[in-house]
Amino acid sequence: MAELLAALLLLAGSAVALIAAIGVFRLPDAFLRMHAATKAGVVGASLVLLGAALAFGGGEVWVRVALIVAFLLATVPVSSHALARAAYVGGAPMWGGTATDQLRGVLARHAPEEAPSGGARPAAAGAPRAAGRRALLVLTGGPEEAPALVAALRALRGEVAEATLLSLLPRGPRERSGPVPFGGAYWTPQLAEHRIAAAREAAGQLAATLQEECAALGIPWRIRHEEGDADRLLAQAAARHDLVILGRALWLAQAEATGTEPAFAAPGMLLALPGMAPPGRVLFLHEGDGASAEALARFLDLGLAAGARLVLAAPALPGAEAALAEAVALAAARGRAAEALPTPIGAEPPSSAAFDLVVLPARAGRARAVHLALLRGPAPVLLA
Amino acid sequence: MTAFLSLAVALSACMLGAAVALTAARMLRGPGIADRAVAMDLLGLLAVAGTGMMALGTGHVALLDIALGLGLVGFVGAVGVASFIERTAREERADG
Repeated sequence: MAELLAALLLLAGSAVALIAAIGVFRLPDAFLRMHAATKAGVVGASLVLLGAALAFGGGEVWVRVALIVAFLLATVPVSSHALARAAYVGGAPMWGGTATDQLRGVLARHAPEEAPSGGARPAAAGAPRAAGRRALLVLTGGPEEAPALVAALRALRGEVAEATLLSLLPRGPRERSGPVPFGGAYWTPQLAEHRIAAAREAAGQLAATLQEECAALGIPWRIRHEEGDADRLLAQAAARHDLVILGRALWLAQAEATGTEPAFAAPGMLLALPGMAPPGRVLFLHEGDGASAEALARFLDLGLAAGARLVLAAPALPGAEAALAEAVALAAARGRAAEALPTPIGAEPPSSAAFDLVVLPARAGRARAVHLALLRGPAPVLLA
Repeated sequence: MTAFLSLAVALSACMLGAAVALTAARMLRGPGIADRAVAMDLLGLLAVAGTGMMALGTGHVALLDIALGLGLVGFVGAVGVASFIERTAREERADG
């Protein structure tokens, strides 16, 4: 009877240990892996040891097993806390789906993947916004993106305090390619490697162009190269910057590839165009809802193009004029001269032809058609 | 030892072996030092479980003492790696 119970405990313990290992193998980030390793690991080892004690019997064995189990229960939480703290401080990346980070602002977090490589040393992490805007330039598209990004850097000369050049190479897990023709098992990975090497080289050329531009403009720059899930990596990098600059053609192409909604639209994203001029006249599309009011507040906080003439436009929607008046008052309270440009019902929606920069709420609201038209209009777009 | 118990030991050895293989794969893959440290922590625990399983299979009670020692070494190792990661991060931040 005791042996039967011992065998069951042994099997249960091994199964739990196997589950812990599967968790460590499959879970997406170090913190979640720790969750699997420590809890399930201790339970698995303890169950196996209890099984051994039951099979041997005898007071001496029981004391020993009780000692080991008590020891594991006391030490594993300590070591996993130390490891978790070290991983957090050391900047171990967090899974994109992490909802809350309760240590944000409590523990300083190191960002190891950002290697400073040129110009002046960038400001320390957590420096106040007054030190200047940090811009992230996304170099995914290859050399044809260069004119738009260079134009954006020149247009925002003096507005960008430091630039991070991020080349992103989207790579999923290795796909299973199915049955391949004769020799294909050799050529398929070979071709994939070739494609990746070509993409790396294109990113490198673009990075070299932009490095020269940054040096000429006196903007401190650093460079990063990331491969993996592009959306997640971009979201992580964007969280540490005030402004994300990328070519509009590339962004629209990705939006079309993934459906009507752009894959990644976040406040502070500047969709650059070649021939972009320093912003002298800025158009803000106010859709007459709360999201637009928040977007305006974020744009004013960003303080971009402070000397520009701000025109607040509203589409032909009921209630838009009252919202516009409120928005003008908000801009005036922040010390920005703004004028309202209401569209009467039935008139043409506002056009961006006469403006140097269009500011749109990050997500289209009530005036979706106008929003999308401006997104593809002749002026570069800042999502707020 | 009954046939059932020896069968259980064999099955458990297979499961623990698979667990060690998965953990070792994570350790090789990383990607960060924290992930490797977690895998190392779990490898220590798996070694404790494996030693318990071996004690059962072979009937040597002395193996339980080894399990105790392995647990101790795993703890000290994990804390050491943790302090190493933290110190490196702090020094790199101090350097700029």
